[in-house]
Amino acid sequence: MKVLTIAAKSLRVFSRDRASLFWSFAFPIFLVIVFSLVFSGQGSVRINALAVQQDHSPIGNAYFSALDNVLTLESVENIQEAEARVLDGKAPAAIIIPAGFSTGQENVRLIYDESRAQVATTIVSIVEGVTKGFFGMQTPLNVESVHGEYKEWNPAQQFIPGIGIMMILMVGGMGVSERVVIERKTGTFKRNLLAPIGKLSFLGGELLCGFVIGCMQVLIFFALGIFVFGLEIAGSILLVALISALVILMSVSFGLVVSTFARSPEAASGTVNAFTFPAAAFGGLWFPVELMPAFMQSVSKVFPTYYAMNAYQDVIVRGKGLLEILPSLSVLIGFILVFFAIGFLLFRWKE
Amino acid sequence: MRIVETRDLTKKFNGRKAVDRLNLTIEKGELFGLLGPNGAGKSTTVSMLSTILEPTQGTAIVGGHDIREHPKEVRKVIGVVPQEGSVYDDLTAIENLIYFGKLHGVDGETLRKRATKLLELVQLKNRTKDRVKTYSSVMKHRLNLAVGLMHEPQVLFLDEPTTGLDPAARLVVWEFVKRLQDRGITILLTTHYMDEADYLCDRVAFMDRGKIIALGTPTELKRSIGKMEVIEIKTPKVPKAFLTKVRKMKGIKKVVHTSDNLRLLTPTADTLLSQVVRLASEAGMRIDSLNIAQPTLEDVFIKLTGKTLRD
Repeated sequence: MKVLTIAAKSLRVFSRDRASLFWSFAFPIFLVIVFSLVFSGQGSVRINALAVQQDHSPIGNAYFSALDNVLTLESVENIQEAEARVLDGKAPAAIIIPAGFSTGQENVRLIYDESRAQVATTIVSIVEGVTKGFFGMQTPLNVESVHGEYKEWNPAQQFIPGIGIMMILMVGGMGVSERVVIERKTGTFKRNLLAPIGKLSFLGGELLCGFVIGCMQVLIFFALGIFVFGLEIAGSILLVALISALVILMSVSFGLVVSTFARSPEAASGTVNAFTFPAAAFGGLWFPVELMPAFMQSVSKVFPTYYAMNAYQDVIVRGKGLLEILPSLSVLIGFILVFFAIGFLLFRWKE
Repeated sequence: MRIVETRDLTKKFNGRKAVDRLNLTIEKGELFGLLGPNGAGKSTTVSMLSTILEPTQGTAIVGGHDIREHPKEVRKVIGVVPQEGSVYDDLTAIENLIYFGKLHGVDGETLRKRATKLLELVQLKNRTKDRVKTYSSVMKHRLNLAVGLMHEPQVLFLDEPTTGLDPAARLVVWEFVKRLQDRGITILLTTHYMDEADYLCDRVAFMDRGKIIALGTPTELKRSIGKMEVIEIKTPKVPKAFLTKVRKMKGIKKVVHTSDNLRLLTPTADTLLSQVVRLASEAGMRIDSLNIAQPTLEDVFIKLTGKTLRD
């Protein structure tokens, strides 16, 4: 079991490096706190919402286009579909303009997803503002919130998985790549090379070490979320563990890829950061993807972090099951396989 | 019994031959020295023999195993002590030994026992539990040696074991190497210090530009240049005029000039000494010390190649 020997050695070296311990565990906690404070306000970006337009009178149409000027509305045929999509987390809100609206018989309904706090508050204030502009103080508007399996919205549902993914990616990526680069620089790599072991044992040990550190991070993040920030997990905790395991594998396999070309620890950490920060911003780890312009939203789908975040939120917020998050997990697994394949092929098991 | 045998061992880097059709054999229990200047191909040879560098041509048999066909088997019977202190700074001495021992398949009770014994041998027993980063460079050097011995190798490759050490520390390493040989370990030592090779080695091979240019016991090699003596002059500055004249002097076979040292190889040192002193005073050269010495391995190397080991 040379893999275990190598992993245990690397873990021991890691545990004695105070800076690594800080970046792996203390810094993420600090970041979670900062983000939860910063993003407790509102956003003000063009936002998508669904619209069911059943009143085609001049007033109804004018009201619709007034809303469409401010929001980006997507027309949906029936109310059930709109409600289901909001509840499912596919859209942050739906505006329903019933047939009797222009004659004053019925009110407009605004349904929003409580779990999208920042987006939802913005939509509610926009719709209220437009409606007031149209009808004065007597606003014919009913606002209803819907939510998934959880009891009430908690920002930790965004920050715990968000900062969690980012820090695991960063620490896993840097950890594996820097450790290998430093081993090469200090000559210990040569000593490993001189032992009767193969490339798989060495890399297996290093990756296992990264995986164990990642698991500790996940435990700390979720313990912090649940016991300090009151995070509730609507779905199965085993699914959260599965997603976490995949996120950690993604981070260590990414670190392996970086280790194949980085020549110095600085180059390794620089490369990991250059990937992690855009992946965090675009993948919706810092704030919901809906707050970004349409073009940026399509860029999001290039990053594995987007799928990791979706999978986490589907389980934590919406209580979805394995089959429903399988598409997101498949993309993640795809990334992991590609990273591992590139890493193992390009890694030089020589001086 | 042969324990290392190279067969036309060759390594090319970008078309340049770093090691050129090397054929040498090392007997079991022998302390064999590869002596040559930097870039002669010594480290490349050791890297190939220790299976971490693939030969371009040829092969070698180490401990009965072919380095190209059974590298893992070769690694089990060899121990390598690289030039730089290749140990984990954040681990303690005993943790380093146990780690590398495990990688080499040492396990159970043996592991700790052997580690403790080795730490005693390299005189680090009282610092066993301190992290290596708190060690001095000499202590790190000694631990480096111990790590190479954890799996009790049949052949030990020592790559420039005393480079960067002060004279006192070098002596400690030399004594240690001698003791290892007494235990029956075959040692291949690479060095560019001629005194080191002279003191330690049973046989020495001179290596230059990837080839072996001379091979024998230190005594044989020194005899090979004939009955020669060396006039050794220590001086801060050698005037050009003096150098030109001394080179033309009858009976002087070779003149080697390093920063503060001038060595004149001659079969008739006694008779030439007074002439040399006269020339020096004519040229206004200050002489700090002057003596006649027996030729060293370095002088043999100079005679053969026209350059010093530090070139």
